[in-house]
Amino acid sequence: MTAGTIETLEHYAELTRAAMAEAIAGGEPADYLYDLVRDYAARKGKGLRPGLLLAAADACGASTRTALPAAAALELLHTAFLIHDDVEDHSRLRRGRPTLHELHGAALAINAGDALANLAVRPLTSSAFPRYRSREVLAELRTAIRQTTEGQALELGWRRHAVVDLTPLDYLELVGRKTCWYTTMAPLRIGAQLGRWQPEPAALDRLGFLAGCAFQIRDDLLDLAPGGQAGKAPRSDVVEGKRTLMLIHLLGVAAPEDRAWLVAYLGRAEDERSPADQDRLLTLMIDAGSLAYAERFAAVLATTAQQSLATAFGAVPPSPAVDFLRELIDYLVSRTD
Amino acid sequence: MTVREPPGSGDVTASVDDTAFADEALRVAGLAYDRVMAGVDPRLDTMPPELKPADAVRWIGDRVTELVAGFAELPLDRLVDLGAPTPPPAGVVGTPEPRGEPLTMNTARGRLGEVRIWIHPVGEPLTGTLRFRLTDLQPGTGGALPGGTAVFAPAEIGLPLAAAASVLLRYPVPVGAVPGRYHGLVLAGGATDAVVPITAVIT
Repeated sequence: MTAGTIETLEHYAELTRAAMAEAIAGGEPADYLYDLVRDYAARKGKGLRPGLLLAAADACGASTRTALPAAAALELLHTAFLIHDDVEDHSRLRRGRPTLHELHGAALAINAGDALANLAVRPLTSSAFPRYRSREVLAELRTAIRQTTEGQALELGWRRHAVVDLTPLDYLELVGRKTCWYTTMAPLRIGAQLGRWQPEPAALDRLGFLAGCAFQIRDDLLDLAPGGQAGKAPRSDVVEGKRTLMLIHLLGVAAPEDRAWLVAYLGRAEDERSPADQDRLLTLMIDAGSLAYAERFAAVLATTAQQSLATAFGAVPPSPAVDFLRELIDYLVSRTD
Repeated sequence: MTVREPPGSGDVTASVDDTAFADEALRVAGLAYDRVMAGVDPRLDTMPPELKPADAVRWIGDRVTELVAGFAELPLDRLVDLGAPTPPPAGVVGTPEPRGEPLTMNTARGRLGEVRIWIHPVGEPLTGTLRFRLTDLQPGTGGALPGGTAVFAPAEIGLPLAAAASVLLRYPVPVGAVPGRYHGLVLAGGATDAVVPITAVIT
């Protein structure tokens, strides 16, 4: 990303964090609930979702002021998901710090996630946000919640029952529901909805889906990189037995004895997956070309996502916001950090 | 449904292997997309075509409110027709670009918040003085913070100006203030009346 794009992204993120802080300010009991609710919201993320939403709104002719409550609501909802997601995945780190359940225990963390999911709609009920818009944005948020929880259910169910007969289609459906919808599709749909110029809707959805899938595949690949990703425990996907595109590819091409070992590995509890086992799994993926396969797959989706962007915004007046959106999508689908 | 865009931008030098791989990847992606979109209305509902009469009235009211609120967000130099901002002297924080966003003051409970407001001598010269006042700072919910404790340095600015001038707003944040985002206005009166929106982010 160029310096200007990074600056704009940070500007959007800062505005959104301030709007989020306003929505979750105060409240008692602070020690057991509202301080927890504010914890993740105050940790700095990349701000991709608000960046996409506010840029899409700007590109479509809506002001940042108009779209900001929607960006804050979506980011608060995302934060509520993260709290529960970390509990479900037994994650230890979130944005470089211990997860909420590590700090306060699972019970208080889950309760804080519930409270945050409720507070997430507060920005949409402010008098500054028109009622007809809040109705439409709420409908989008409900769709995002449905898709995300359905995707999460698939992932957790596959792990619980040690499901291994999976295909890239299953993976993309999971990612489409769990990641794409609230990371890319909902921000683009909501941002566009708030404006007076409408992008081509089907191309906009394709853009969100393809960019979100490419983003998630890159994210899964980065988890395997030496040192992992900033703010996350390295190889957490391998430890959790997450069904990534690389794992699904390996299950499809591994020699029978390797596949049998892999199935046994996935059937074990997380704390029984030793570092040596994790090393072996990673070596198998490399030898089988699973990482290269995933890289190639992501590249195809990324190229098509960029074509969808051109189609979606072809009839929208050119603007710095459209240029920013193009750069942000480029970053999403080709990120290396 | 396919996720492939219409032909025209493809890489014609791609190998057969690459093309076959891409075709298969996009075929699978298309099937997954169909599964994800099942039951979802792909149409972006735009307003106001399907509004009921009562909603239409609200819609018009909302747009008027937005329009009026938009005027209040214009920076002082726009309202007094002072044109584009002049770069501030080195080492001095200048007024944000006139993008419709309010001035922001980041501060904390019990601390002294500061923000500088710039005034530029562009257009018809005005004579007299400009004096400033801060309204109460209103949060999204909860109690307001008093604006009367704000101090402006200098307290007034004499017009006409030979060059850009600035006034420094200092605001002592009460120790008991609830952290959050507060909104207020800096009112300029005297030779002309103008309004600068300000947002105080208190931690």
